[in-house]
Amino acid sequence: MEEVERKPEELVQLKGYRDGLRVIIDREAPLSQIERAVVKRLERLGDFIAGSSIILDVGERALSDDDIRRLQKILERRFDVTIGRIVTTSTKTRRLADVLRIPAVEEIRIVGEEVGVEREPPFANARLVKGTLRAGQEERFLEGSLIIVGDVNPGADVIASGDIIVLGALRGRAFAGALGDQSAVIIALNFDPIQIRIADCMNVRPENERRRKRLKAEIARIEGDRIVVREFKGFENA
Amino acid sequence: MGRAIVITSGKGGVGKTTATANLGTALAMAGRKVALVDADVGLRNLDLVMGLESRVVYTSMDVIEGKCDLFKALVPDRRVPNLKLLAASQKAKKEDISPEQMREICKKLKEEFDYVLIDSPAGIERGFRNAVAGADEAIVITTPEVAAVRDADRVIGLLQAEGITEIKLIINRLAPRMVKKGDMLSQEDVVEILSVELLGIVPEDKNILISTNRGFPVTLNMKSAAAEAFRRIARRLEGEEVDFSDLIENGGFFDKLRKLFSRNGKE
Repeated sequence: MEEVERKPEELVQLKGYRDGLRVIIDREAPLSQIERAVVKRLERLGDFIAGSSIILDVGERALSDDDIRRLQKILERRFDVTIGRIVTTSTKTRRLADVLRIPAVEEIRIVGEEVGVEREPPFANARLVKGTLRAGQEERFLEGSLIIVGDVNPGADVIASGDIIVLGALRGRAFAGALGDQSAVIIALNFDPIQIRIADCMNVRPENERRRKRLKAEIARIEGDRIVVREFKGFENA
Repeated sequence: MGRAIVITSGKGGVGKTTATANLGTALAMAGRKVALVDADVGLRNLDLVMGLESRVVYTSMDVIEGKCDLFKALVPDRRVPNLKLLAASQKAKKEDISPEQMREICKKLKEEFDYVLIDSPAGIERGFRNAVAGADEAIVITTPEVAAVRDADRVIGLLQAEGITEIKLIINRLAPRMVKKGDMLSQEDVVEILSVELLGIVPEDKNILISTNRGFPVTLNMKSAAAEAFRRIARRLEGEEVDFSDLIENGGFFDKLRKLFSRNGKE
């Protein structure tokens, strides 16, 4: 009867995509174990994901409506996260999700290969923010890319799961690929950030560097294992 | 109906109270009816800077508690006609006054005065929210320091969130020589970040310190660079186009400044 519970990392996988965080659950383990694993895994992300929506990937697992509700309750009450859509091959699960008014799509999960983002154009999902972000203000979007029409001032933060494009001066902090997407880029017309992060890489402004005033569009992206900033000459060359 | 303008900065010690006193004095000397409201409950000092401390009998707290009529609580400045002060209580806490009560006071004052200038406390908490509650416009003061500019930026964001769109900027204590040497942020740096209309630049001036300690606003009759700056700010507030000349000694500096101002003026 005593069954060894598998590690949370095995029961629940987290994959950061451009279109949001994908929570992939094990196909066999009892739901109570899945629940505990979801809590453990999301707890480690801190309050970072609060207010966003995730994609629940259940594969071929057939969930009952009670199962879906239990997972929904944990996500909403504990993490302030909604289920944006359910990905499953199970017709039953899709039908139940439909009753609960959660969009459900069929997507075949190929083991060992990431499905989803690669097929989508880079700006499939983007939020447009008009106006300058001032000190103490934050714009966070974990379901795609952010386009800021205005400046990002020192003391302001921009966080996106996809790309960050600032049509103005970037002087604050920007965190692109916040859920782990290494292909995310940061582009600004006047590129002068205090700190930038892409996925798990970070660059900070050298301590004694003077603020640059020249208007120069630049793009930051991961090359190898570090962030490289180059002049931005359009998307063909980007 | 007059204009209620909050004078605020986020950071302390950048010159809010001095600016309120001098701007109010300059406007009153130009013939306007001006009410100064000290919104720094518990840490009042607008009455000190104005030299009216000894004549304060009632405060805004007494008005709110119904102990005194609003207009009876106002302390008239004997040196300038039409200039009056509503002092803040020294004993009360900021939480003892609500934004609604401040709004009510400002509304009544606006009916009688051309200008209601509200001196905001430092910070962005309750005292700030009280000070902003009754205002239609804001003047944000900063000094050319990174920390002051950062706080001013934060405050501008909060003012906009409160629905105040008419926001103007005063840069206080600018020392042109230091800017020239690259030891101080220039007015262009400041305006570039804050991107609000520049209302005026007040140069560093030791007369301010002397006058503040004496309770005698420089604008009353002193010939000093800062006094002249405040008089010009008052005129700009009245809608007059006043250039930024002769405050700053060298020409190149002034030219850049004028370009900057006209650029902002168009917006």
